Amino acid sequence: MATSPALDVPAEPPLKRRKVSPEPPDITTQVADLAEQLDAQERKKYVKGAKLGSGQYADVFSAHLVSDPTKLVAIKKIKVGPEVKEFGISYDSLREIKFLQELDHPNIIKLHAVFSTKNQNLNLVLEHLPQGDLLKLIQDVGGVQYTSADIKSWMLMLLRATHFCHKNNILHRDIKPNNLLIAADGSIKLADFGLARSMADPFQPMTYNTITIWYRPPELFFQAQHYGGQVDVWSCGCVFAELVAREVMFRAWPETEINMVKMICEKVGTPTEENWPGVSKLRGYVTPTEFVPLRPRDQWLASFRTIGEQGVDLLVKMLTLDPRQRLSAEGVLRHEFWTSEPRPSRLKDLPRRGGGVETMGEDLTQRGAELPRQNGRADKVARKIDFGAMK
Amino acid sequence: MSRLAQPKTSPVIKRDGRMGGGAGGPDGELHNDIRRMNLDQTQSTNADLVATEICPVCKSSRYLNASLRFLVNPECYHKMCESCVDRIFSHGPAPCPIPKCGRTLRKHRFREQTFEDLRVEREVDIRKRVAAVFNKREEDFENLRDYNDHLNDVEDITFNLIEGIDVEETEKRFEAYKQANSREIEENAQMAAHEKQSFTQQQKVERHQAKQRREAARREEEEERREAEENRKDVLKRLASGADADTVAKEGQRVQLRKRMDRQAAAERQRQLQAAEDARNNGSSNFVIKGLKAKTKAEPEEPIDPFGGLRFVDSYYSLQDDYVWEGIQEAKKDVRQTAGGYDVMDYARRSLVAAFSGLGVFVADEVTQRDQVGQDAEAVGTARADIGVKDIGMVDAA
Amino acid sequence: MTQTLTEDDIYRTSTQFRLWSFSPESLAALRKQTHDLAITRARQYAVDADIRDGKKDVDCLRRDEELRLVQRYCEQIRTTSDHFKWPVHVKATAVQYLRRFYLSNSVHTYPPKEIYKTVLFLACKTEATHMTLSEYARRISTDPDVILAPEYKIMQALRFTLDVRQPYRGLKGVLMEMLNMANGMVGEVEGVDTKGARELQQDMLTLEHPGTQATTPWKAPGSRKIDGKTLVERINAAYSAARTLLDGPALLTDVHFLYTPSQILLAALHLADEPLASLYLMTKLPLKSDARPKILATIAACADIIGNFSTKQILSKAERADLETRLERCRDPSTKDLVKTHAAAKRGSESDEEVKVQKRKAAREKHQKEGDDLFGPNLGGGRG
Repeated sequence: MATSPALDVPAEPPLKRRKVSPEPPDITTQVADLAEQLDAQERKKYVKGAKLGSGQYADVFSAHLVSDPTKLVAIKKIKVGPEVKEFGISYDSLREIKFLQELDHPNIIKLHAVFSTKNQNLNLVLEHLPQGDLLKLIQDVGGVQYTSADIKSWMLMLLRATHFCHKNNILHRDIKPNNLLIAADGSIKLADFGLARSMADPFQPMTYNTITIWYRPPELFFQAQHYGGQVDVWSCGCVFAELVAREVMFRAWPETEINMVKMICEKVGTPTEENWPGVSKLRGYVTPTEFVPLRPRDQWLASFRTIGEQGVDLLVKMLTLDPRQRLSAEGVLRHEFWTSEPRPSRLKDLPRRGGGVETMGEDLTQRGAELPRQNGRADKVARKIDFGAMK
Repeated sequence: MSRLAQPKTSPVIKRDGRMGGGAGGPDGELHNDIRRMNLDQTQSTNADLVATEICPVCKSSRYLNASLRFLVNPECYHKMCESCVDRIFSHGPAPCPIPKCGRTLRKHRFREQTFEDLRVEREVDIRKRVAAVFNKREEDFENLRDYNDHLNDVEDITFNLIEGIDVEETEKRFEAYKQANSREIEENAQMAAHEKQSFTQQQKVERHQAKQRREAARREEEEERREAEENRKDVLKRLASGADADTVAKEGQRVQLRKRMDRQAAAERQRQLQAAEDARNNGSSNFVIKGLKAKTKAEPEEPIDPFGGLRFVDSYYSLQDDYVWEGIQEAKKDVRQTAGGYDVMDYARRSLVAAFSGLGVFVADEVTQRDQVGQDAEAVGTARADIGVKDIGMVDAA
Repeated sequence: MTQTLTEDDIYRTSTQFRLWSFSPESLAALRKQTHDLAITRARQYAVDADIRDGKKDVDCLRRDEELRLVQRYCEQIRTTSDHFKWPVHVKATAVQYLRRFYLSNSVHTYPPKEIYKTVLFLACKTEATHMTLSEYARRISTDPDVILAPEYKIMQALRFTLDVRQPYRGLKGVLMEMLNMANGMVGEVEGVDTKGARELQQDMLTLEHPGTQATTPWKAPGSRKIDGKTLVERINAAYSAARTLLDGPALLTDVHFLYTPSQILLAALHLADEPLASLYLMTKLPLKSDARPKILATIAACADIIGNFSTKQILSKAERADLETRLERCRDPSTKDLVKTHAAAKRGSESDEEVKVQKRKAAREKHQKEGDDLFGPNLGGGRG
């Protein structure tokens, strides 16, 4: 069973080689302490497969359960790099582990387990999400078409995830389309909690240098160190607009903070004491050169007609300058948009990526005693749970 | 004796499911009762009329304040204006301000009055309460006689509660029945809820279809008229160009007929397509049969719940409007914090949830139970594996 | 399909409840298991042949001695954290990390002296309090490598769960509500029929004074009934006393494994000012519910544990030194040099990478050379 212990090398494609991480046959580990035993138990549950991606900080592998090869997972192996010497295990990894362990929601990526391998590598066993992310769908203008019902469906899932985080007093602080992964059944999963943090107590300052710049709300540009869930709601609003227009709403070039503020002023309006009392007291408040009044409703409607009046109303309330007047996640969910026509698309009707991924999905989802395959569409056969009427 | 009367007074009545009380008496008699009650009121003096317009607590009148709204509390059925309710009960439960009452009232139980006569209001409330518990249906009984006997009993209880006879005794009977039948009560309540939902859905579908039919009819009419007009012009033209009058007339008629038939066929096809589309969307048939007994089959399309079925409930506290603690007050004053969007009431809420998170969780018990379940599951697992092993050894005959 | 989540349900989703809550029996059993495992190992690597053969017994620490040693270092963490002036969250998390670590590891394998600094550093990272390793190392006069070495092992022992639920914010919430109550403002609770707000305020003002056992520093005036201002003082004093209990004794006992933070903070409040705590709790629990007596009993049991703690129980310097000497004689040799193991592990991964890169490079070069060959690469096997 054990391959040579000296080679803790990830399996190379083709992926049929069965690889189990070996334990060094040392005398001291024959009576391993409980912690190690539990860890080893966890590690042995999985069979690592092909490398799906590689980055600066981590590699991602496909894997499946030893006990049930149809149950796929993704294993994110965090690299032990040179910065470890300075900080030990990185803040990002710690945050991701800490928060994902506590959150259990259908629209948040599930962290099944964590285990370690030889060389003290952290391995996060995550949900397997083969359909890529929302960004790819948005950008594939030629290949993928979607309706306003689809947008409503995705936004509803995103907001549910955000609301759940906030109810658990966690700010995600990095909501953007490439962190919204698509599951096999079509649902959206919020991922990447590397920038998340627990909501602060009064007088406890937080960093304002967070959230990817295009999705960052004005209060953070103005260096507010005390903020709440509304920062995430702004990001969600940006995603909403991007889904409609199929391009980033606040895409300043060059990507400086000044330019971003300028762009927000142009597209939403200039923040003033009148529309945002107290804004001038924020340390980073910059008085714009020319004053742009708040963009009138009919202009918003002109640009975002697809989502209808209700949709535009909601969008405007999510992209409100003053965070106190901006809707909270709960407020967004209470808006009439979700219960008005059209209904949010059902999961199985949501568009997917191109056929290539589906084929892979089909390959990896070999099951015994299958339903007969009709027209070979993997999503019709392999699906286990139908969320149907968006429960 | 039991009263079979069912008050159906003011037009503001809310029709909710079935109210216990079943077979009502002849309407005429009922109507007289009601008229008498109302008459009693209208025969009241001017003073009484004015009295309904003035808040008994703060004495402000509708004459001076057009938007004055009155609320009533089912504890003692005393009514007062909205601002009084706010003023007196916002800070917590307080005694009723009506002299000689003094019962402790809670703000969230205040609501608007549905009936003019407070006695009626009270009676309807009692009936609703009774009906929520005694919600058995005709099908649940062996025969009609049993059903009516049951209704009789229910009415006895209701009457006692309304008139204040043997209240303690009656309450005991009430509780006893409730405890004994808790499961059925729950089931029946769910069925009623389902029916109501499908009823409103059906109504919606019906309305929608009626609207469509109307519009289709209108469109057809338009078309016909237009075609007739065209045809006439055509006929005139041909006549003018010297064709035989008779043949032209017959032609004209035939053409018109054909056009109409074509149109109707097309419309029919559209309808079928629409029906198919609807069927796919709604899962309900094209026909809406009135009066059909509603089945408890769950509708495939439930209304969208934006919260996805998840409800966070505060069971140990409720958030107050403000907290005197200086930590909160200081934070509220700090512009740097408030302008950035930090809401200190979020912190208050968080702290209160934390204060009670786990208060009712008995760690020792739950952990022991959890371990036990874990062990049982393992035991079951191994047992099944045993069986499996044995099966392999079995030899297939034939 | 509605799922309702009450405050209790929210707690049940936490890893603290799922993985780190025990009944007294299961806690003892787990510790015994860890301890026995350590003793078995100690026998195996003992230098003395007699011990290995089972003729003599190994002189390891007893279970209660292990517990006291761990407790001593919990106290050490508290002092160090205060020295850095870090918020209470860091302190409490670090202490819990240490306690959890020693549920599945024995002091004989990893003496707390070598672990506690790392634990505190880890806690400061996970509780969003930033300090660089070099500064931390400098200020406690320790080598940064020594601090980093056990970090990974600690993560493993914590089963990679890093969130620790704490009672401090909850206590603040209780303070807020009590101060409001003193002001005639009450938040209504569904299902609980309390008296009117004014009445409750009166009840508070005429409340019985705390007993002699109470830890609150509040000095009751002569008369039973007090004025509003004195009531506010009483409440603040009770809060203060409870907070002190949560900071010290609660952290130095096992209550976090056996009770929930809510129960712990209410227990502390009971110890501080019992009549006040009882009055408050009465407005939260419906009189007729089954849970009520059980909750009260649970809080009382928790209060007992906290109340019975005394600082005298903490090991003195001499006692600690003594235990550690004995520990050295029978500690696990394989874990003696954590720094070396850690460095080797890191180097291991680096060298693996290097080996891979080199192999690829070699293969590339070989292929190139073969390509350059006039007659193309060799068709058969390897080249000489």
